[in-house]
Amino acid sequence: MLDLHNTYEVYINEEENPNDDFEYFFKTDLGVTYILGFSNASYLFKEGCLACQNIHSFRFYTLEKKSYNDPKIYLSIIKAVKKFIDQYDYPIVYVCDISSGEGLGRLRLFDRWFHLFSDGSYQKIQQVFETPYQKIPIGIISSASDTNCTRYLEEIEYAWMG
Amino acid sequence: MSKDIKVVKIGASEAKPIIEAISKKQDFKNKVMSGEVEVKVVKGARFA
Repeated sequence: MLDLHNTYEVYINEEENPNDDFEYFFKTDLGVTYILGFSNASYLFKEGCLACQNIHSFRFYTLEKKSYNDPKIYLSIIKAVKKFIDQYDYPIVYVCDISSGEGLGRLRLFDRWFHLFSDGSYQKIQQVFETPYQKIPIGIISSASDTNCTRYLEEIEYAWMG
Repeated sequence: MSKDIKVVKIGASEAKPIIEAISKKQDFKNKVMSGEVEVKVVKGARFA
């Protein structure tokens, strides 16, 4: 069983930020600030997809260029993602970083995290969109009761095929 | 890569508008992490 008690406290960021619709943060024991942002992901879909309008893209990053091994960090991120889905019942989509070439690694990371926190209350689907120049891994996590989960990726595919 | 991950091939021109949108969002993150853009935090209510 995943122990989400030994984690950092995650707070709402009250500072106005036009880039995220929902923004949270936590600070680690060594003073590194992690930003967790959720923003509407309508840009990934065609306008006509009503079922897709509540999907939010998720991202996280640090404000300082420090990185160290601390299991409380990923547990805190998992805790916040779970809370977001539980509280709003919005599916989340994660588009792995395509600039650094680490996208597939990130997809595997999300995969491991999902298996850690999945207790049957959530579902996940993943897909890789491959152009002649790059691979774009995308995953979606939603509540287990969301009957549209597989449709979301189909809708992204539909949008990308023009 | 896991065998259960579907791979869909798309043309570069078809993907261009969405890749640009994705890149724009990811550029912001990279600029924050490099210090080029400053993001402030103001502690609000506890979320989780």
